[in-house]
Formats: sequence, structure tokens, C-alpha cells
Amino acid sequence: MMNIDKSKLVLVHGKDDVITDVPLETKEIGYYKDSWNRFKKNKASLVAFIIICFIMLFVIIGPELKVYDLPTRDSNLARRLRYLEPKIPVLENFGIFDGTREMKAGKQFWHHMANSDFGEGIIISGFPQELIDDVNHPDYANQTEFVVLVDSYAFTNYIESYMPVTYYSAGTGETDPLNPVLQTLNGEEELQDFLDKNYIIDIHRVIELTDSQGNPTYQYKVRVDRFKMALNQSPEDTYFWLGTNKDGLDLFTELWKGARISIIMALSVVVINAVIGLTLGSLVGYYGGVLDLLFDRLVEIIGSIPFLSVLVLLTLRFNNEMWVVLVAFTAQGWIGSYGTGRMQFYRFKNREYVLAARTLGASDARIMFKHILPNTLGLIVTSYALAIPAFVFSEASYSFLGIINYREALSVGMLIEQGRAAMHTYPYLLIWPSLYIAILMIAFNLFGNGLRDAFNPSLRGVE
Amino acid sequence: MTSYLLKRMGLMVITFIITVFLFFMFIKLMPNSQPSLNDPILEERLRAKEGWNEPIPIQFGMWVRNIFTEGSFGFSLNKRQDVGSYYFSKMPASIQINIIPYLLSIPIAIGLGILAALHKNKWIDNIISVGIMVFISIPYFVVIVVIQFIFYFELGWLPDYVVATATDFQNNYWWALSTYIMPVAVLTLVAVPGLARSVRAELTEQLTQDYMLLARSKGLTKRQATYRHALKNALVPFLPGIFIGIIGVINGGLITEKLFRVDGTGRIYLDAFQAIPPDYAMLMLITTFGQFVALLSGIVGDLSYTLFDPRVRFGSGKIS
Repeated sequence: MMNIDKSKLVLVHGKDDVITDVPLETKEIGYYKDSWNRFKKNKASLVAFIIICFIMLFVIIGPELKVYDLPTRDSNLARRLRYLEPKIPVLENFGIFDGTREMKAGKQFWHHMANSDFGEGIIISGFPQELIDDVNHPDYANQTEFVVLVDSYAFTNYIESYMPVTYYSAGTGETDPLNPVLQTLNGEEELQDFLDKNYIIDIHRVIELTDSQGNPTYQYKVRVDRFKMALNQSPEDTYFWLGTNKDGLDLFTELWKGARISIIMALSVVVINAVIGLTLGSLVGYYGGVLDLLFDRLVEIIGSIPFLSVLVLLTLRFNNEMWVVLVAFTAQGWIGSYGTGRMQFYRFKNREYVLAARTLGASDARIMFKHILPNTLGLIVTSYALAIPAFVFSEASYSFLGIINYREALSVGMLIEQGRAAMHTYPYLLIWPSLYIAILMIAFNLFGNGLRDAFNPSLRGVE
Repeated sequence: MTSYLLKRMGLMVITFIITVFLFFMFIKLMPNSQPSLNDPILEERLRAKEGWNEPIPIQFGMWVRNIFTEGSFGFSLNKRQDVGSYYFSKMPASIQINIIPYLLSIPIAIGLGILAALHKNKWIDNIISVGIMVFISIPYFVVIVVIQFIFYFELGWLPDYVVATATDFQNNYWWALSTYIMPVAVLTLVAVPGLARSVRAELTEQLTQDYMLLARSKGLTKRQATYRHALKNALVPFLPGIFIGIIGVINGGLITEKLFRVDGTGRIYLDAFQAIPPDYAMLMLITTFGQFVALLSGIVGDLSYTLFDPRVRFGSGKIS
């Protein structure tokens, strides 16, 4: 044993020295931060996420971007503005979205259009100059019909306000061939009103009638400028970005309205399913026992009912209200999240950290919500990110079939169905809704997959 | 194992009966489920046969009795004939359009899935995966409509965009047959991605298992190991699904039949739904039949699992 003189021992630190720890310079990365980092690396999902944000923005503001209340004000007048081609300012100068369309009609009709004041500038190309000068030009004696490129806006205004396409082919019947475009005005006051607003092109006919007191009244058959009457502007200044459908509804507005309703429905369905399913699932998974056996049977019976029959019977019984669709989709929809919740709680309830929490005196509720639920959240969130496109998919399918048919708006499936019916003549009615749903679905699925890979790296790239 | 299977089947049958009864009850509770007919004799006959004045459980009993004694599922007021004979007479048309795409899509999907899994993260896998992603995401009716539009209305390559009717077949057999090319091709196209994706996922997982390492280390080439071991294990989960799919073929598809104007069972469903008043007898039959098909699928699925996968066969006691 060494003998050291105690007086030789010195303290390395003085008694007043403060020992400071150097903090760790690495950043703390939690579960969510880590997930976000992984998600960021997945470029496709990131792009999909940005696209979804854009779509959501348009879902919110899209229906209000264009002020067009004509269909609600006067649906008959709106119907006169049907099938207008897409036309967008600026882009129209580059040969796309310029509102032109090829139309087929008799040469008499084109000749008259080219020479009348009202029909000025409608024909863009396709009608020979010789025929404009002389409708009986010998070079074209054998050809009676021409396909002509026209400005669909001005053309529609012409055939709805001035001269119907059937004018020369209507035959020599009793009825006036101009009947489809004529507006009937009763009495001087209405006439004066229309004159003040400068709607009237010309007065075609005046009919003298006697009213109940035997006084003479006048009925005027006039031709009115429909665009001016409907929108108070000329066809040149009118822009329907994605065109109009068979009822004269603006496709752009309708598309976003339909998108809005389907997204709102999707979110509500997912939230309701999540709340019901997770609550039941967690209770059953956590407590198990008789409850588990009971619910096992119940879920099997409910799950085996075909969804389509539920939807059909509910809509037949309670009509096509939004809540009916909601009920139909949630009646069985909760089973999915019930399964997820039950499995997760069943799996985690015997883990050590739950035991530790219980030892410390945590109540069942605290263990469920503070300990188990946060651990399962990643998986749950992911499954809901994929549930939204799944809902949009089936909603579009059933509205395409006409089984879901909201009163509030035309859903996207309905728009596609309308587009399908008219695709041979008006392809834009099919293309835009299809494009919308294709982009939406791809974006949501990419996003959902990215989210799943981010929250659960062991599953990366499995599907 | 037999007792396990019997138990499962018993539960399935009970579930089947309960769901069918629930539907029957729901339909009978509809306000317009008992139509007023113009024909008093017919009405009287139906009333007696289907027991319209009886309580619902007794009506259900009579409905079941009629099925077994007369083979009658009810009388369709729209079609003016027995729903069963009408429904089953339309079934061949549905099978006709569905069976070939179904048979074609399985080998194609499995092939593509294997190809993608073997070349994981190479360009060939990327192409297949992107294709699967796109076609799984876009609703298939959109794909079908757009293809109809492009190849019939824009390019004019197709003889028609819907399938030929029976009279067309009598007039010009080859032309009528040629109208089936596009629908078959498109239906195959839309049926492939789902299965291909699952096969790829499953095989990818099997390729990373330990037994593959063992197979390689005992001297098998990668090809040998894949075909002898991984593939067998990877395909087992899909075999029941493939059998179930064959049963599903007879059920047709609403959207497919609407798009290709097939005069099959899918159209009957929509007709029954849209008729005023709705054709409840028909809806009841279709639902029951659909449930029955699902029941059969379940049983076939269970049986084939036990046949193909020894793990289920021997470990059966623990699963139930």
C-alpha cells in the first residue's frame, strides 16, 4: 500500500467551478420528423402532394371563379347556349381553346350566313369564296352540304337568335321556319323594355289580339340577340373555359362543383368510418373476450351484405339525398377501420410499455389514448389517405351508372356519363372530366403510397 | 380438418340466410313494394302465391317454398314473366363477354408481376410499376370510354364501339365477332394491374426470405431457386382468388355491360332499379343470387386453400 501525504492531493476543479456539459450537436429526430424526411425524398409523392393541394384549392374556389347564374335564373335560355366549345383568353390566340368547331350544314344556309350582317365573322374557313358570292356557282353544283369551321359562340348565337339551321330544310309546312328563334312579347311595355335594353334584332311579325275587355292588344314576334339577353355581352367577349354542356351549364363550374361534393363526401365518409370503426375496434381489441366473439359474428354478417344492394335499396327508399349516400357508405365502411383498430390494439396491449404504464397506475382510457393510439397512428393515417381515392372511385362509378344522383350538383361520374353520350360530336365534354378524375386518382394513390412508405419503412416498395 | 371446414361452411350458410332475410324484410318494408296491378286476376294469383297479406316472416317462408317447389323466385311486373327464367336467360351474354378477358388476364398479370419482381428497380420494373399505378388509379370505366372514343370516333379503327347483338351474328358472323376484339382487349387490360401488383409484391417478399439464401448456397442458380421455391410460395395466396374469379364471371358487371351495350345480367339490375315502381322481385333475386355466388366463392376459397397450402391443412385447429 502506498502512502500518500494527504496534503499533496489537490482538487482538479475548484469548489466553485461550474461543470458544463456540451450539448449534443445532432438534431433530435422524432418519429414524425423522420417520416417527413422519408416522405420528402420520395419525389413522386411530393409532386402528387402538390397536385392534390392545387386540386383542393380549386375545389374550394373553383365554383366561384366564374359568375354564371343564368341556368338558375332561366334554364330555357341557358339551354340555348348549349354545347359551346372551350375558349380561354390569351390561349385562344395560339389555336387552342379558341372556341371553334366544325359544323355541317346546307350551302344555302352558309351562303345566307356569310352575307348577312348578323352572321359576319362566324365562318372561319371551309366555305368557298365562290359560293359566298353566288350560291348557285356551277363548280359546286353537286355538293349541297359543307363542313365549315366556325366560331361556335357566334354560330350558336346566330342559330339561336337569327336563323335556325333547319331554315332551308324545314320544307313548306304551315309553320314559320323561323319559329325556333322567335321570342313572343306581349304588349307595348315588354317591347319597350326589350328595346331599351337593345336586345331586339328585328320585329318579325305583329299580331293583333283582343283582351277580355275587348280592347286591342298587340303581340310582337321578334328576333332577339340571345347572348345579349342572356349574358349582356357579345359572343366575342364570352368565355366558357371548358365549354358548356347539353343544358348550357358551364363545364368548368360544374366540374369543380362535382369535385367539391365528392371530396366533401369522401372526407365525411372517412371521418365517420374512422370514428365509429376506431372506437369499436379499440374497445374490442383492448378488452377482447365475449365482446370480441360477438363483434366477430356481427362484422361477418354486416360485411357480407353486398354494398351495391344496400346503396340501391337505400336510394329507392329515401331518394338521392346526400345523407343517404353517406349512410350507405358508412354502413359497412367502418368495418375496415374497425379491423385496423382491433388488430393494432390487440397487438400492442400486451407490450412492455403498456405494462409499465399500468404499473404506474394509468387508467384504461389513458393507456388507450395516450400510449397505444399514438403508436398506431401512422398506420391508421395511411389507410385513410388511401380511403379517399377509393371513395372517389366508387362514388364516380355509381354516379356514372346513375345510382348516385345528387340534387345539389352533377357529380364527376355524371359529367363523364354525359360526355360519353355526346363524345362523337363534343369530345371536350368527355375529356375534361376524365382528365380531372385520372389526375386526382393517380395523385392520391401516389401520395397515399408515399405516406405509407414514410410511416412504415419496412413496407417500402412492397406494392 | 373436415370438422373445421364444416364449421366454417355452417357459419357461412347461416350468414347467407340472415343476410337474405334482412334484404327480404327491407324490400317488404318499402312503401311501394306491393304494386297495384291493372290485372285483378294476376293480382289475386300473386297475392295468394306470395302471401301478401301475411306477416313478413311467413312471406319469406312462402318465398323460399316457392323456390323449392316451383323454382320460382317471384314475378317481374316489368318483364311480365318469372324473374328467375328471365335472369338466367340473360346470363350467357354476360359470361360471353367476361370469360375470355378473365382467362387472358391471369397469365398476363402473373407474367408481368414475376417479370417486375425479378428485375426489381430496373427499368423494366419501373415501366411495369408505372403502368400498374396508372391503370389501377384511373377508374376503369374512364379507361374504357376514352379507348372507345380514341379508337372508334377519332381513329376509326374499330368496327363498332359496342358489341354485336344476336341478330348481327346471324347476318354477318365475322363482323359481329370482330366487335368483340376491343372489349376483350380492354377488359383484359383493366383486369391485369390489380393481380400483377399483388404478384409482384408477394414474389418480392419471397425472394428475400431465408430459404432463398439456402437454395442459392446449396448451389441452385437464381433462376432455379426462383422457379422451384419462390414462385410456388408466392402464387399460393392467389389460387383461391383465381377460382373465386371464375364464379364471379357469371355475375357480369354493371359498368361493362352498360358501356359495351351487352344484353346481360348487369343491364337487368339497372332496369330493375330504374323502373317505376322498382322491380323488387328482380332485385331480390339478383341480391340473393349474388349472395349465393359469394357463398360459393367462400367455400371454394376455403377448400382450395386447404388443398394448396399445407400450412392451413395442418395448422387448421388454431385458426378457427
